[in-house]
Amino acid sequence: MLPPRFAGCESTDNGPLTITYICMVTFNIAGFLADFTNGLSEIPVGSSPTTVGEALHELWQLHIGLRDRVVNEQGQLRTHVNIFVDGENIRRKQLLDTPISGGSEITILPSVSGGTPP
Amino acid sequence: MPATSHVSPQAGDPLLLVGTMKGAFVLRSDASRKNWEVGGPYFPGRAIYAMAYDPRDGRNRLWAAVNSSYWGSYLSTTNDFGSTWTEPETYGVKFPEDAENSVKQIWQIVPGNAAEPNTLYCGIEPAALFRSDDAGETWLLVKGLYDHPHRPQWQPGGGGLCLHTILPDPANKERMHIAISTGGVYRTDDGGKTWEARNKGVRAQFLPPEQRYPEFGQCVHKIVSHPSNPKRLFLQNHWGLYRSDDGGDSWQDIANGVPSDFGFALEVDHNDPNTAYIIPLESDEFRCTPEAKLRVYRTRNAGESWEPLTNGLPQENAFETVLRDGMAGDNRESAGLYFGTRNGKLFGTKDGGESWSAIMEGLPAVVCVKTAVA
Repeated sequence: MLPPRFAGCESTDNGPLTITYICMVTFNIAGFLADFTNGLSEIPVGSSPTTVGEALHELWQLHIGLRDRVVNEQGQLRTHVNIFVDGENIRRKQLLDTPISGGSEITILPSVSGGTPP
Repeated sequence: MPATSHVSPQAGDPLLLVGTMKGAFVLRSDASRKNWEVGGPYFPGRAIYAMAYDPRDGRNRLWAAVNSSYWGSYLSTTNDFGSTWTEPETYGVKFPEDAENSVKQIWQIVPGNAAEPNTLYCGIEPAALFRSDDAGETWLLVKGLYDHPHRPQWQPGGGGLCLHTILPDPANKERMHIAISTGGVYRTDDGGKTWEARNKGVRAQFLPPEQRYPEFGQCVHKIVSHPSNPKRLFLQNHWGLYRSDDGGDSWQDIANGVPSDFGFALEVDHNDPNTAYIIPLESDEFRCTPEAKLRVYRTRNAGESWEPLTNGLPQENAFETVLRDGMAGDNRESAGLYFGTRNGKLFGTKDGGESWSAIMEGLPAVVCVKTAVA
């Protein structure tokens, strides 16, 4: 039985007193942004990020072309881009400081408020 | 997405670069400038507020400022007149971290002085100037302007707080004018290290009467300078029409006989510094062509008088608006002038405005028209 904070993580028993937890989170990428992931729509990152911001930082290491499109140069989420963690919009939580746990699914989507006016 | 067509210009062909709220178009013609082939739409759904052509150093490079409300703003180039455009992995025009600011929109891209063939400038919202010295590979914030003590007092106009016009001086690579809404005109004479406000005589009608001629803070909509006489400038203000004969040191009111001195679009005849064109709009509230007539006004005496040019332009029910970068001239002996409207119509003349014809209709709202020669 894993401790609650490691729910969804994989554990490796390395012997007495040492257990390694690997907490994968998965990004769901769709539409235009997939042009910058070589077409991948599911991207796991796995060095146990604890916040959305940390997970994004790992995502940028894998696919740098996503970064400037999702956040501005000050690292803030663009106005008309939304990020959902397990279905919850991080704008209703703690934005990029929203905590995540192993097994979380993070989805990046354009918001309904964006787009070119008619 | 719509099917995209392309043009294949030959050397010497005239080009029109048309930026709209929903994409870019590249038009080509031949020496007759009669018929225009259309390439595009490029970047469908993106607002293209700025386009430019850079022929320096043997390049045939078009630039487009691509603005997405979702994904931010970046610069894209094509070396084949639109068949292929770059989509950079990371954006080049962005504030350094310590500037504590972020790019909202790119409003202007301009090649620098011919003596510096790898230099380009870019104007953005919030009002700031960026410079590249490696043909657009990398960009740096022009700190001399960004750190100007006036900057905290600049205010956004209706289009936001934007640096929308950049005029490198073709005769002096150290000199440049820029225009900010709402900040006014600024000039550098040392390559961008220092900047001074150049708004003497320009009215700020939105201020109380005793404050209407401030050092800075005017809502300048557009400035143009003459290519071979760069001390001759014209200025279309948010109420007010002006000329300078001394590089912007002072401005004279030249709104003589125009139906409105409110407007955006402004161009100078490339062959005659006394000839300029405007498209007046009726009031800051209505912002449409007066009396619902689409009229270009021309002066041939540096603003002492203006005449309406109407031949071929709709004179009934023409509720049109032409924005600050929506009109451009070419440098042919018989002057070509082109403009696009918010209602998606593109008009042109090849006789200095004596007669006009529709080039395209049904475009998305036009925000940028530039001329070039392939």
